[in-house]
Amino acid sequence: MDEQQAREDIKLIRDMLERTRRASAESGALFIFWGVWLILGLAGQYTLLFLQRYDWIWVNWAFFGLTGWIVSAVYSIRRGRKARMRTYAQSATAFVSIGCSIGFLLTAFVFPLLHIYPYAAIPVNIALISGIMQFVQGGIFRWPLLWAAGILWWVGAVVMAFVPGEWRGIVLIPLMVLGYLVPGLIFRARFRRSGGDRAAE
Amino acid sequence: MTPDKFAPLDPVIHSQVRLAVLSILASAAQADFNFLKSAAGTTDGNLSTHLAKLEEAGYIRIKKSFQGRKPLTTCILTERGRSALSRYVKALEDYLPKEIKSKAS
Repeated sequence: MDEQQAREDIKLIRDMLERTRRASAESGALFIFWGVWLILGLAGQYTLLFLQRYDWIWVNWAFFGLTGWIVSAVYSIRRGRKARMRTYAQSATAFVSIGCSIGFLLTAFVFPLLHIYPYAAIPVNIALISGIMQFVQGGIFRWPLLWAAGILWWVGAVVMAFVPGEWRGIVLIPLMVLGYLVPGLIFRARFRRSGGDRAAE
Repeated sequence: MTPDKFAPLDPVIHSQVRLAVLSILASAAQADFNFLKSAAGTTDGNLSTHLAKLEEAGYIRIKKSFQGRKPLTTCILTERGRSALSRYVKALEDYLPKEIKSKAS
């Protein structure tokens, strides 16, 4: 072993770490999906409010929530099966996402149906949980944009406290765009640029 | 310091393929045989031999299962393997001039 060989070994280690990083790059697909899906859900909610069909609002959210979770679960399982490797960051992200999904289910459906708090509190709680999810994911991916998105969700939750109940959903729209769509599109662009799909093969 | 006085390099890791495998597994919770083969740029038979050596040394754990009807070989780095790789990298740094040691680590 000489200096030149040592350099080659260190280069090899770096190359392998870079390859793992590229193969595990976040595709952003679920961020984009949830951003679009929840904005459509909000559009459905305000259409029903406009039509004064208040009883159907929970059906609207049950549809968007349930289909969204099914799509996410199927996508994640299929991607997991195709993946040739799995990093600790991906495992941590999966656990955070599952944990927060259970939190969303409880906060958006179970507790309001049990009359633990009024329906107007749902968007505030959703924003709080989304903030935790994005802030933690920002830590896992070491990406300040997601930390900022997490903080933005919490600021949005505070803003909602000063907005009349039926208009709180409107505050969620810019949060969906900045918290899901923008990071999702940036993840997608990075993923394509780094050849993430090919690197995983 | 002359090369004779440097810390000896672990002979189990001192091979391009085995070093590549351990480097991947250091950052991945697990990786399958085909991913390792493509990353290390080697053949099935060659990789199998190297994986067996790493498993024998207790540096990796090999899990065999099925994905549908296809056999699936998954490798996981053990704590022993992680420590060995860490020692190997530190030993490698001794071969580098002082000014680039910090960059390498």
